[in-house]
Amino acid sequence: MPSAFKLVPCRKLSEGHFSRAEASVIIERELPVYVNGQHLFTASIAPGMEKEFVAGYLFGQGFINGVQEIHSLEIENDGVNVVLREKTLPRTIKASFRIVSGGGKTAYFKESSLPKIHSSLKLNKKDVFRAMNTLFEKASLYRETEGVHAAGLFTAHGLPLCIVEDIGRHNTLDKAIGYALLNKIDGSNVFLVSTGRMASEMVTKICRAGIPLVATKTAVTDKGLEIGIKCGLTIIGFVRDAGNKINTDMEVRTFDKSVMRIYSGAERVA
Amino acid sequence: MESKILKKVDFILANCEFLRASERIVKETTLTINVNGKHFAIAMILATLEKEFVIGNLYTQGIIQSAADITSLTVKNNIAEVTLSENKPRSEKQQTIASGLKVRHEDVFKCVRAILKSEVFTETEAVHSAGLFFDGKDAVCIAEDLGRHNALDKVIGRGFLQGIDFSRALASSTGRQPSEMIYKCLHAGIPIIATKGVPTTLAIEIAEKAGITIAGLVRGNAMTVYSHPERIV
Repeated sequence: MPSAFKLVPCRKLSEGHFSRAEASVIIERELPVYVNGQHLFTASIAPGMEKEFVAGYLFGQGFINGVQEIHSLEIENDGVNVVLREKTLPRTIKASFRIVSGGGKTAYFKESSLPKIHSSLKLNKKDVFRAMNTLFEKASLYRETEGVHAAGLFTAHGLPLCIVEDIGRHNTLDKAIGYALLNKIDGSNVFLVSTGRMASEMVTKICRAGIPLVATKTAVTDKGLEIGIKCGLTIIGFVRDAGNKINTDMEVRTFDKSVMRIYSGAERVA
Repeated sequence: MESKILKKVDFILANCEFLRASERIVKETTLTINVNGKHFAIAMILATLEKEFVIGNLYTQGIIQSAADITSLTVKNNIAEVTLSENKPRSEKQQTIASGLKVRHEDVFKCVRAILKSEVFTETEAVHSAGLFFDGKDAVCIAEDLGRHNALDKVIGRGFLQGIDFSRALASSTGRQPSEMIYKCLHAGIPIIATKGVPTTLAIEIAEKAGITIAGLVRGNAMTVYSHPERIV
């Protein structure tokens, strides 16, 4: 694994005076992605899991409908080259790009074409809290730099399959979903936990992957919820276990009670 | 009247038991932007300061440089129609920022605290805020959005419409600062960005080269200055 952060010189203010110090900062790198020899986009991501990221991104944005459509996916000269079995670029590649709330742009995606999620997954509340706590424990970058989002893919029994940290919440999902795709993991039998808000394009990616449940430590938007309901996704927000800490405006708040809010698909949670 | 930015939903509150409850969550609005009648972009935004958002976005992307570049701008039914002046000069993106702006660290704290009083955030915990402050003191605009990029575009758009001298402006944000946020400041000509969050390595490299001061982790009475510390005294 490449190092994900580095120490940089800085000035720190304490007690009214600046002094020279060092800060650990998360590494952001630009990753150009070429599909069938054509530059598709340049992503800004944290180093690591580049192949998963690209596979997850292409799938999540609707450029491909499965990894079987990828002939090869290689990291070359600081970029990623993808060759699809279909030599002509899919129509969607020329689709309109849109500005999304997580920054950057995504390809426009029609919700109506999303599949309905089929899964018999059932979880206990405790499994959800435990998965979120595992995510925080393993999210060492988050603790070190406070500059990342994290996402984790868990089995129906609550075992972590992959934990990802990245500078963008979208990137964490793309990497986690890419991991599932490249490792032929059945999406209907796993669930996701995330530190990010569930806006429409986040929910779209999860529904496309056929994953039946997502739990986030924060909120959901109206469009995110609409899409989730339409596809049959269980969305749980504000997952906060007793003892969890969050940074509020200017201080750190500790929760004394375990609580979560189930916005859709509550039948999957016992 | 139904709110443009909040929507009431039912949910199940799960603690020891399962209880029915309701609350208001943030609405995402799909804003289509057409420039000279041609499709330019679709943005998912919080429906406040839409005109400012469009202007700020076009300005930080180098599509427009002065008020004279815009002939008209209307926002109706979530569609923004922008007409650009025909003899608009080709935009050249700014490469470095020359500014003698200096701001007291006490004022940097004020500029960050000022954007943390968002009522929408208090209710939903789901928005980012940004602010633009002339000389690091006087608020030009404070805005909220689902995304920190959009919030920054909105305040920059307002500054642009007011014709402020961006070389004397400080921007503040509640979010992390990857390269794209610093590019926005660079293209707008803003010399200082202060945030509750942290920057990335690439953001610091760009800021160092371009002459932008990044103050991060502005919390309580501590802050970390990652580039061009000479502007904060």
